[in-house]
Amino acid sequence: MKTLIIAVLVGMVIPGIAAFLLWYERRLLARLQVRMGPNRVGPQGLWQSLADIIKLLSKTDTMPKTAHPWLFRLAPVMAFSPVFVAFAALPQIDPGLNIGILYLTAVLSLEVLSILAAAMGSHSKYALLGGLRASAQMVSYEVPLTLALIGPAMAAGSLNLSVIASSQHPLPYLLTQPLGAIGFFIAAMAEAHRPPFDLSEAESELVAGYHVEYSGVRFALFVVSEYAHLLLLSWLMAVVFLGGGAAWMIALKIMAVVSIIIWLRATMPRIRADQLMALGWKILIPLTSLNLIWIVAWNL
Amino acid sequence: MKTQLPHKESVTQEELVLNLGPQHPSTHGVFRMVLDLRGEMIVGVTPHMGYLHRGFEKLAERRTAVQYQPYPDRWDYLAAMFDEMAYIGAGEALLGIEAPKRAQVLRGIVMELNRLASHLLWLGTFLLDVGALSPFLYTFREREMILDLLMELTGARLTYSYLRFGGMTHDADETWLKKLGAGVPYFRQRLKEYRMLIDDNAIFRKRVEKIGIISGSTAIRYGLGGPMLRASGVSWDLRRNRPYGIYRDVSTPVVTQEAGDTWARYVVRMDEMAVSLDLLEIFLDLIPQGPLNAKVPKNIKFPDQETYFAVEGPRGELGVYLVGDGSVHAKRMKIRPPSLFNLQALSQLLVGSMVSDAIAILGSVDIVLGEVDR
Repeated sequence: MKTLIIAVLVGMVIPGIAAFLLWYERRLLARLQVRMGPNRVGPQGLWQSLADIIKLLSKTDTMPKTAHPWLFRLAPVMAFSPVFVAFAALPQIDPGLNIGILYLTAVLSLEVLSILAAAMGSHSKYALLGGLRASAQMVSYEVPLTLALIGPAMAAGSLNLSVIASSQHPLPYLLTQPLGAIGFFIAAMAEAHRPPFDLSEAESELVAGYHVEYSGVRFALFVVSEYAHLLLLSWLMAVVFLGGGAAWMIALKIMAVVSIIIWLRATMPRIRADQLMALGWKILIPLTSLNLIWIVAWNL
Repeated sequence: MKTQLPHKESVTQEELVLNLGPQHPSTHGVFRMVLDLRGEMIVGVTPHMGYLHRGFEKLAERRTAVQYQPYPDRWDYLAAMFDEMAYIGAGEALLGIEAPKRAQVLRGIVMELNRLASHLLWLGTFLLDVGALSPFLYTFREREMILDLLMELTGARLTYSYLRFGGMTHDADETWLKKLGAGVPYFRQRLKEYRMLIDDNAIFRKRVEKIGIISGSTAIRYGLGGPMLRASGVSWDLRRNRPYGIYRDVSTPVVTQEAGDTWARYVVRMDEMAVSLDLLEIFLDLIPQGPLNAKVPKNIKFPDQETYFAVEGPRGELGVYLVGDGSVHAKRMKIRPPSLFNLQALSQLLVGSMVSDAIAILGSVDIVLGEVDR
């Protein structure tokens, strides 16, 4: 019963936080780009995301004639569910999960299926190109992401996220494992398709990438899952590398990480597909592997 | 440009034909190109133009010389002063009119201002093509100031109709010139800021260096002009090589780069903005008092002659070939639009690069479809 209540709460609260992050990103990005951003709906434009969601929900549900009927419909749900399921591993939601990191990496790797489904199901060349880029990206960035997560797990001697959070007491793992933290941060940005790694939906090239054919509520599901993904990875960063802490500390750390990610979006051009692969395989994987060696040497 | 894929018995392979445009956000208007892709690699390009064709050359035969004056603004709507200068200059050459010194200096000023505005828009959209969002809004902030200045002078933001045969419509007053004089150091500061923010960005450098290379001799054979040509190491600028108007009295420094890649084209345009600012300062010192308009016959008739007049636009050599037959209409008018010529090198530039490079390269060519299709 308790689990059910938590599940319902998570299902209600996470989209709300995702909507808040969407608003926060638009406002902060606007300030970095010498403009105002949404400021009409509610105080400081706070209800803008809500208004957008209502607009998207009330739109006519359209589907291209040539699209694959069930693959097209399934893809947004497949994008939405793994991210929401992954929240279960976070110590603030379930502190007792002993296989936290294993569970997270397993569930998050399902995300790529939704993109492939959207790409193949849309029957659009732009979606196909975006989907191929995205799947290559996600498959190769899962490796450094997992390698970076193994570091704290080794240092703490546990896969349980709350144990990892509480075991970085004098110093957070950001300072004792800087390579792993940097590797995780970059890999997480690539994993969540944040600019400069947003080449799967590269607006100037592929128009919108894998979700080019989606509109209305299905599009909203993609957007919400994208921001939930951002929240999840920032939360993970706060817990695993920034020392966790009380709820308000976590919230503060998440906002700091999210702000840096938005700041990078305002600063960086988009990276090219082959350069992205080179960064993942030639730089991040050696970097995070080096981090593992460093931890072994530290604990000898 | 098509290459055949090797035939394999077990797997049938074919190229993916991707239709880019005319509604694509990065084709800068209604340009359309059909790309043959092998993976993300481009093996063939078929450009399609003409979606914005409005028949401006034919219109010159149906309107009188004076009636046609507002039309050139619509060729290249981002740098309308150059189009006006090309048309008015060709007409003046036919009619044998010389504009007074003050008008010529003022023409120089508005053209350099317009070049700045055009290059600023190019900078913003080019970086948008590469994937950087912010510079677009920064450059538009500055461009808006230039457009405000031009609006104060001419009454319009884009389509000015400012030049007339033998002069201009309005004179610039002292306050306007002072405002412009104060604006030049401000823009110089901003330009420095842009270069500081953009030049050393590692991802930007990686995205634009060594893509879309065109050598100097190929560039000449394609008839490229402007920054496209100068980025390939060819020192050719009509303002220096075939000067017109006030450019006969000043020496214009010509910016060149050797590499011929997208990065070189970026550097050339950035340096050209600095040159334009220097020229603006020189012109502000030069501007004499005196009449603004020359004596022009009431009824303008192009004599039975022909002429070619070209100006160095922000995109290259913008020429007008004008034939008169003694009537109030032009007998025939032909425009040489630099964007169209620059676009001809497209397949040379694109084949062998990737889709994301294609967008960056197309952005670096700096096309304006109003001018390509006319």
